[in-house]
Amino acid sequence: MGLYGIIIKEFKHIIRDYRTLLILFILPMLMMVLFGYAMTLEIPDIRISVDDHDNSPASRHLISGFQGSNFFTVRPARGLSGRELFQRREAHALLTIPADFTATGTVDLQIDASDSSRALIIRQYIGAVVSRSGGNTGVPAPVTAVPAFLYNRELESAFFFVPGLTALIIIMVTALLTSLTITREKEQGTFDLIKLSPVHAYEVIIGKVVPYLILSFLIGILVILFGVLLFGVPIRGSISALLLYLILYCLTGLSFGILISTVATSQQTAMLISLIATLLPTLFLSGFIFQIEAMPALLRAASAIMPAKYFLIIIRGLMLKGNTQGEILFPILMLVGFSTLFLLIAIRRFKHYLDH
Amino acid sequence: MISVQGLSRRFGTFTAVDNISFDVAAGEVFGFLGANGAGKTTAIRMMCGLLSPSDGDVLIDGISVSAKPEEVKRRIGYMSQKFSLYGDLTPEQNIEFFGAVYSVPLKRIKAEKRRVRTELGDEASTAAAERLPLGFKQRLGLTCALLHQPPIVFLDEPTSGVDPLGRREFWEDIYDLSSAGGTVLVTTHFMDEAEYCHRIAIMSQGRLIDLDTPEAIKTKYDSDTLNNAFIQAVVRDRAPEAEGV
Repeated sequence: MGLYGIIIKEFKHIIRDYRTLLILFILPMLMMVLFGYAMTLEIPDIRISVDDHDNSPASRHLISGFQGSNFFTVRPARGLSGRELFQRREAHALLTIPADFTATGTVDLQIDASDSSRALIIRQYIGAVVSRSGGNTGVPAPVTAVPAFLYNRELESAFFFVPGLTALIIIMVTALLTSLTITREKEQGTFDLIKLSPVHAYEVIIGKVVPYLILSFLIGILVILFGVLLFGVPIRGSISALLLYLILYCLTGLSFGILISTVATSQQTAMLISLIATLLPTLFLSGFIFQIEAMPALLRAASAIMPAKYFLIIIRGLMLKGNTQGEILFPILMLVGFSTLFLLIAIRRFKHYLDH
Repeated sequence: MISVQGLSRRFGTFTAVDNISFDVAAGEVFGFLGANGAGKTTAIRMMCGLLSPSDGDVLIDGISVSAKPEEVKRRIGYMSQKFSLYGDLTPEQNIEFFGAVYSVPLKRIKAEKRRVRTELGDEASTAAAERLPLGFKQRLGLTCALLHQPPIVFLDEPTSGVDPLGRREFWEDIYDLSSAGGTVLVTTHFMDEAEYCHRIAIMSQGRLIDLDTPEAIKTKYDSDTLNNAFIQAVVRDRAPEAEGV
């Protein structure tokens, strides 16, 4: 009866506060759109300047290789040397073809590396063009690697950020939602009445999680649907499995929020803790943007306790790779573990709080 | 019904409640008077189990509050001056919630909702509770505190800020409660309200300095109003300290 009463009451709170409800649905959509159009990882236009000291059929063939590509714009000289264009930052890269190019087949390449990741991609693209026209120089490459990009053939950045953003949005929203509910009652003074009533700690905790579980599950579905419909991200694995683990991940976030609310004394503190504990770590340590394998040992260890890391493996597995559930068992178990741990600590702390 | 035994509470070096003891009988309306900061609220919070005492204990119906808080919970109702219902929910939704939490029979919940609706009108009983006038808010708070029909009720300055008319209505509720056999412990600043109590206790600086019927207290301090008697009592209590300074 107590559990039922609390669940119903929390639902009423949610419905009564329709403005917050509206923000909860609109904000994730807005984040998706902003990320979707601001964060493109393909390099659409590489401006390259060329100093051709050889001026031979071979060197002209090499240059036409750049001119024929969609990714490159070869800057017209306009009376300036390639080096001058490069120094004026009109070109991202400078290709110098030495006078003995026909004989040696060597070129000199300088890339503006002020944006290092961009420079790396430029190197790869230029390398591809140079090696393609390399056949003409009469020096065949001994081994040719033909890379195949799996799971994201066109290297669409949406495939990359939709799962990541889903993981980020859900952990932020869920932790925030529940972290505020108990602290709000502490501030309002309604908590005294809960304390005096015969409800059990677990009833309060579960009663507060259930309504928000449904709410955040709906938000999660909406975010994924948005990614699929607007950005064409596929779901190659089982959809029902994806939904199931979405619920699990929501539960993890909500339990974390409840745990925060048993620690924080005011709504402001709760909001701050839940934002700091979810936004930055998820952005940096979950493997969303930065490779976990490339991190120093300390950060790698920290990433192991990020629930978002495990959900990312699950959602990328189910959306892009078409993993079976057996293949993602470990991250699933980790999320189950996190949720149980957070809930148990929260109930324990809460029980202590109710009795004293 | 209520037996307070050597109750103390210290916050660091400050003693908010200093070794107070008294008994309240069934059906009694017991007033708790004291200046601001005298320790009334701390004492009442310990009596209903919201705060654990540093020393001493409170027995409700012979059951220790600190040892068996769960058994005490259903026997007491509590309401404080601070509006502590859910302001965003309607009065009826508040009643439904507290009814569910205390497993109050549905019939009683319905009856209470009907009663509140006839008192407040259709519009007010379906709008957010925070928009009610203060007097109504406090009476709604009392309704929710009494939903599970506890034999003992603690009221911590339930009428502060309420207009005289609202206060009179509130006290009618208290009297109904008492004549139905309920025990009421109420703190107040209003001396006219204190006159309605069967017995009053006066607290000063954490100690219980007097406990008697309003009439006996007036006689003791030789004043015709309770107001004067109260001032006399508190001033006399503070006087030795003033001499020391």
